[in-house]
Amino acid sequence: MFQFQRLPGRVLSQILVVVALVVLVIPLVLIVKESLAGQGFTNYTLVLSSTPFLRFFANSLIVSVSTVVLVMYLGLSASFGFAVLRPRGSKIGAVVILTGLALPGIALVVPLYYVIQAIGLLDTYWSVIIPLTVISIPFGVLVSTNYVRGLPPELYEAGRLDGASSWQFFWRILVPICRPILSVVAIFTFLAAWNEYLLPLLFIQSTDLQVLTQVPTYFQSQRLVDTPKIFAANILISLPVVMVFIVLQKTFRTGISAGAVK
Amino acid sequence: MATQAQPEIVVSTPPPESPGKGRRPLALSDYLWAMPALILVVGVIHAGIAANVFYSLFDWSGVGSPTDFVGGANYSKLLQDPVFWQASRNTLAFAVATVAIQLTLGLALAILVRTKVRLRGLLRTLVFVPVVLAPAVVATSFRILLTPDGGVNHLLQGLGLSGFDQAWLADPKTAFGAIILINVWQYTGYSFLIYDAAIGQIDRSVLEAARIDGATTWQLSRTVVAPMLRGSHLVLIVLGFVSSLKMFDLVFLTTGGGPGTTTQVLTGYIYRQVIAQFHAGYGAALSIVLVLAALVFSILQVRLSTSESR
Repeated sequence: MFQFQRLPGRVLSQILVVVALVVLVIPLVLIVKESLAGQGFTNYTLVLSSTPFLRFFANSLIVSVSTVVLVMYLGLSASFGFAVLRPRGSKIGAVVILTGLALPGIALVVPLYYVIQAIGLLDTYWSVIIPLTVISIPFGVLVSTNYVRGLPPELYEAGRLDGASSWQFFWRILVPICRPILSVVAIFTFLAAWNEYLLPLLFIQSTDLQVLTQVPTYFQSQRLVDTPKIFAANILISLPVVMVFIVLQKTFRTGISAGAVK
Repeated sequence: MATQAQPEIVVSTPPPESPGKGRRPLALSDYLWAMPALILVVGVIHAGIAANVFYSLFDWSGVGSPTDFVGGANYSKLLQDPVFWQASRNTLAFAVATVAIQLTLGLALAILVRTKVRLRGLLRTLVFVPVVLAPAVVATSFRILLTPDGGVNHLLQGLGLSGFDQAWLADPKTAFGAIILINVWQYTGYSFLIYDAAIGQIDRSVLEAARIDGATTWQLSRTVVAPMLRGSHLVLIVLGFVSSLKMFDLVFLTTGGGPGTTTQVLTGYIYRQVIAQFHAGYGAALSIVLVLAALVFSILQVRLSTSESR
């Protein structure tokens, strides 16, 4: 696109790219370097053996996957109602949900804390999954509804003429067609859930249920701050997401840019 | 614009809601589809906001039932609370600074990877790696790297720049700037990605015509490309403000709002009042301020997304 630069321009562009790469890489290199300080790779094995790391990993996975599945289903199901069936009041329903779009979870911390304690959900997966899901629903509804609204309106009528019930239409026709937007919802929700720090900090107390984002502070709460292990833990926490991103880069790119705009 | 890789979207608005015209009779079951989402959102978000309004009228620790009714006292206290104003100013300053820097850098990089430079593939991948990291991971790492004896200062000394080493996060003069730069490092890749996708949609012939007229890359970027990306600018500005409003982990895990309260933000101040100091009634009043600010951006985001999709 800008491929016809003269020599000075090309040199300048190249220098800027190298500078950008260096600035991006330095913190990553420092993190790796610190994680190997002292005992080298033993830091990593010690993190894995001295914390229930795999347990935390499994917990993060349980919380994130449950949230993603719930948000995908609830979002698409609502958009089917709002954009295809459109019973009277759909517009109001959509507005009611979308008011929560930009709401920070911490704005609900007072009632959440009180209610979660009162109904005995404290220290369960649900205490994290439910608030995370609810906070993510407005985004799921927004992008799904925009997508479904863009589908040809004849689609549903054709399905009905073929004798499909709403239930069959939803699962057999709408869900497969909406795969691109479902992956957008999945990427955004998964990243938010996997990286969530506040909710587990507030509502999960037992080590058995704790999630990965709490591991770095785990090494700080021990009496002495064990710096290399914090960094080793940070790398172990990040590796799965970074690897998934690199492998699925294309899906990530299109998904993230579509999710921002749609 | 910038609706990348969504080939099967047919641009069509739904038929107007004229009764009778192809509309099926009202079926109760049509309501069931949106009900679960609606019940959850109303039951948690709306009921939560209502509960906040109620709690904010009490002097309440958060334990047991609220009994000490004080009316609007929490709100008048809030208006005179210097920490509240500082946290609000910081939240706004954080939003303005990160949005301005990340949009500028993101756009510059998106244009750079379209020139004929080497390593652009590496840059495309690498710039986005920090975006997928947990803010908790990034914050705990930088907190240690930025101590007086940490990796960043060692690096500066190694480069012969020992005059510049600093207690970055402990010095009120540099702490807030350091937090902003950490965010810029982590999230410039996001702006880059949006701009990169949008530039891919620009009609090449427009650029080539300008090129034949003798425009330089800088002139092209400034006078042709940047104005064509208006939609992306708007989206990134709104999303940048939304995420600044939500930002909690980064400040909480680097400075905890300190030194003193110099880097405190609204989310962090709510946490402090409610969780650390048991001022749940006052925290609920603070939450209402956050809710109102968020509402403005929810409306903007919906407006933007529905107008973009047409």
